[in-house]
Amino acid sequence: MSRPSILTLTSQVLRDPQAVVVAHDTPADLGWLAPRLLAISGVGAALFGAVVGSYRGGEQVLYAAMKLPILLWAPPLLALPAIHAAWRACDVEVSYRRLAVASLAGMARAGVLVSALAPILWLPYSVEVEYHFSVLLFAGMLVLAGLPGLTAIAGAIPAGGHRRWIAATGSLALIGLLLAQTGWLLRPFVARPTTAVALLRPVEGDILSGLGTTLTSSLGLYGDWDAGRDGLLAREPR
Amino acid sequence: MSVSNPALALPTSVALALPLPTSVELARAIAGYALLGGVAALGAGEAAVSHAPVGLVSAVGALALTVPALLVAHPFLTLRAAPQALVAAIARPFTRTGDVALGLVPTLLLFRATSGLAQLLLALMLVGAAGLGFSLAIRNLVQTEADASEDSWSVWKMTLLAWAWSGLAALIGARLGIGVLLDL
Amino acid sequence: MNATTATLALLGAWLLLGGVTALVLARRGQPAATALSALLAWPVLVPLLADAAPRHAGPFATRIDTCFTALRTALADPSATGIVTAEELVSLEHALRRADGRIGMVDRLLAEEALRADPLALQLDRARGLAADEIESVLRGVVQLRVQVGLVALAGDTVPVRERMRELGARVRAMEEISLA
Repeated sequence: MSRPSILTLTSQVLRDPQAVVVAHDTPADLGWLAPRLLAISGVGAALFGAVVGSYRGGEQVLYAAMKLPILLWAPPLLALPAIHAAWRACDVEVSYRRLAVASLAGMARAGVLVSALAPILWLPYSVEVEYHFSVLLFAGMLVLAGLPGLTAIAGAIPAGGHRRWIAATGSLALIGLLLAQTGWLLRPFVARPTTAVALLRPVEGDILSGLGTTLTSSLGLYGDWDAGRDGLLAREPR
Repeated sequence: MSVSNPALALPTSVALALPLPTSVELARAIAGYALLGGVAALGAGEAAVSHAPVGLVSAVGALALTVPALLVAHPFLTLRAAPQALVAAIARPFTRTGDVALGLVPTLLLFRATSGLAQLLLALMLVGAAGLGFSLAIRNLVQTEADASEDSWSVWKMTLLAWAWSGLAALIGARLGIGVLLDL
Repeated sequence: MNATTATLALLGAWLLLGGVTALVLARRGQPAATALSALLAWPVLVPLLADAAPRHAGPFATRIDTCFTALRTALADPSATGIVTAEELVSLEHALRRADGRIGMVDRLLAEEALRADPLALQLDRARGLAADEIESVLRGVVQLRVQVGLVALAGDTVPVRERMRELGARVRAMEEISLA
């Protein structure tokens, strides 16, 4: 079977990811398919990341572009064994390889879609909208692009089995949890213009405490939370 | 051997709808529960090491203490399924949820290393796995009885028995788990 | 160990596993891009470690691809759920690919001038012909399996499909032994 070009593959994952999964769920195809789909998702996510980093500007553009692909890849990669086991527990016979191909297709789909949303994000960022609103926009775009990616994975799971809703709910909850914690670990993406630019903040707290702080901050209740004057490769604001 | 009362007749041998798990599957399930608890206790000090077997103790202990009671109640209620079929109906969800526990180890490892949420997540994961396991076991037990019996009244009895068994096993599993965590 | 150190250790372990996977894939003849992908994305490439697909494809590789892609497409239809498990399909495909790989190896041997003169070469050629005929026959069986899947969707009787799968499985298992007799 001839291998499609990168552009053809991109079009296929957008139009019909199930056809990609069905056609390439073979040992022979996974080898050449994986780097191409990872490249598609990586480039798309990096483009989006560059726009996200443009809110702060400077090195943040590069840092966010480097981190967005990891944010897209980490949750499905970490959750794959548990998702496979959960569906098998519900007597749905789906091979690990099929789920792997579907995950790659889903990541590629999400990466391309999120890059298409980049210009829409850039517009409010270019007029320097309020910081919390900019974070919400960023998160909203990720969810908007991520959902079609998740449906690509869900579509690869065959019919049948019992208590499917348990496996479906658990899979979704696990990916959501991993996305949230990975995002917390890789912060900042949207950096305040007045803060130091840093590749990564020190690992402290967790996504729940971070959400709590954000909520109170958005209500105007500021505690001793530091806006981040340090971190990996930190640079003071100009 | 003829019997005057059909209710006293041993169940006719029924082809198992579900196979018993292999030793590899059992070992993998046990490893999954053991690792999940072990990961949550990683680097958390000596006190936490004693909490490591919480998953294994609550899962295996709950089954070991309650399945014999189920196997006694089943013929007492004049139900027809073969005992091996009942064991297989419960063992398969146990091995499958053990695989789920093994699959969750990378996620828990991430949270153990990067946050203080590991213990909370462990509890949620164990409760989730138990919920999945009991749900599937109830379904398997009822289906096994339906395959062996021809009357709906037996299926109803088995449904009630399966729910009662799972409630008891859940309570015992919780008691064992809390006992490990609080050194009771 | 503080959280940052633990995170870095975890990252190191991830990259180590990725590195090992990349090395193994590279040694098995996978392209460089595939091996490099394994550094970060090794969980999706683990199936390549477990699969026993031969490194060198034989003359039937393309036809095997076509037949099994078509069969998977048919089985992906909701009305064909549960007729054949993924494991059974993979097992059949792997066995065919291994047989195809062996024929490819024999073809490469027979292409060597020095070996063609050997008296055993005739027997090898004959055995190669028999094995190739068997693969052809199994591939025709796979095509017929697709038709039977359609009949299941209409009539609901999975017995012929199960029997066909058993027959094909038995034939490919017999092909695992190359006989020079």
